[in-house]
Amino acid sequence: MARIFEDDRTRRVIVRLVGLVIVVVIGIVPVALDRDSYPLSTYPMFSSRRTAIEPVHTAVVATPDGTIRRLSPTQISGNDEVIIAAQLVYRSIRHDGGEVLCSDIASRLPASLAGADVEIVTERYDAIEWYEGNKSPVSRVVHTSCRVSGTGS
Amino acid sequence: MSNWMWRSAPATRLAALRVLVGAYTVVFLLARSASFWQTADLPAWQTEGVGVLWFLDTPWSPDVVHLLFLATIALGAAFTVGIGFRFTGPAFALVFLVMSTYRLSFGHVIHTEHLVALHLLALGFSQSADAWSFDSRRRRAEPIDHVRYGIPIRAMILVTVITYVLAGVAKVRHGGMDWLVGDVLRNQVAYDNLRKELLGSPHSPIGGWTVRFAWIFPPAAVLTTVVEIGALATLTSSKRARWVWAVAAWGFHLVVLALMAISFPYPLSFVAYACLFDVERGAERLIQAARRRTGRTSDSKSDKLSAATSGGIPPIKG
Repeated sequence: MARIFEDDRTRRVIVRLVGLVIVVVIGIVPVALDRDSYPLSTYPMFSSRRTAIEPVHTAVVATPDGTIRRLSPTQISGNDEVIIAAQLVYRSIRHDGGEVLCSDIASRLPASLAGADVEIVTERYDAIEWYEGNKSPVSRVVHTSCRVSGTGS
Repeated sequence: MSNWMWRSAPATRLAALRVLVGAYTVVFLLARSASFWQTADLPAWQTEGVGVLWFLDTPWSPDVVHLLFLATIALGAAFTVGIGFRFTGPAFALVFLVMSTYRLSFGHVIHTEHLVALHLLALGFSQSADAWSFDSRRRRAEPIDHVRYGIPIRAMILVTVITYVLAGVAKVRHGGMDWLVGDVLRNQVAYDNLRKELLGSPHSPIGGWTVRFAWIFPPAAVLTTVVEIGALATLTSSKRARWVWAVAAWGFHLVVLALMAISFPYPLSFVAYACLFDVERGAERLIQAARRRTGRTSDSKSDKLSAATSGGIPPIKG
């Protein structure tokens, strides 16, 4: 191995090859595919033309008196990553209108919420206006709902 | 390119990077253990393999996931201290890649592990345990500076630069001038915080307050892009350029944390940028200081062993 490193010509070839492989695999492939992946990505989520009004897919609890209670990522997905929870709701809506996820969440919630409804929703707010004080939704679609049994913990 | 890649480096520099990146990764795995562990319970229908697990369409059994996670931590510890590195080096780099890929194979990629996974591959497949490791205790002579220690460090620098430049180019490519001078960044900060609020997750009150001031965002967007594409400056031989860029990139991640509650722990820990510097010198100074504090002398057997395993740093004579 050491001899290979000491041979000037071989050394140049190896170095060029190593450099080329790194640039191709880490640099060119992600740009060519232009998608989010791992461990190579073009980070498209940070560079898209984001507007102020975008959909947020989430799950909430609607209590009998009409109050909406927000659920944590762990209550929604069983995982504490907010992005995984958001994606789970989005994909479950596409998969079966959110029905299986709704039942899963309802079965995980504690007895104190028995009688309330879990709602799988897509909400649209003007995010800028939200932080200027106007917290009314631009639109709100309830995909499905299901009753909390209160058998969870 | 050939000359840039083909630089000698001390074995201790590569070893210091192995210890730093290995220790960071083990701490990261332990800190995020709940998330890795809970991955085993995500619904089967959500499985969508990415990267090296692109073919995955059904989840692994929870026992396999849990065992793999525990094995990753054990290998990480062995990697960091350099035990059986011929096996544990490549094994940890690959097992970490698989474990972290599996966690992201359920519908959405999180971007906290991209760079560390690439750095581990460079370190794991190199001779980074030739110094400052259990394996190197048996060595009689200290390894001399060599390109075999320099090339992996150059590879680490190169992948660091590429990941930042890619992110910068993607912003201009996808967002165009709207990204640089429009409301895209402001909307991004507002939307990200709002989504966290609606999903019952911690969000940034500073970010919510800041979006009221539209004028802040165009210069911030330009600065972001300059920092990302400015990573190219680290390919020069200027130490000052490397320091300026590393501090700017670290500051950028700090601002992202403050405004969006998005933490990139690898760059925030500064370990991501360690490959840009002569990190072994800092480590050597720490060892010297520790010896000075304990007042250890040079003629004890343990000091001789310690000197042999620390790249030949002479002990302080009491």
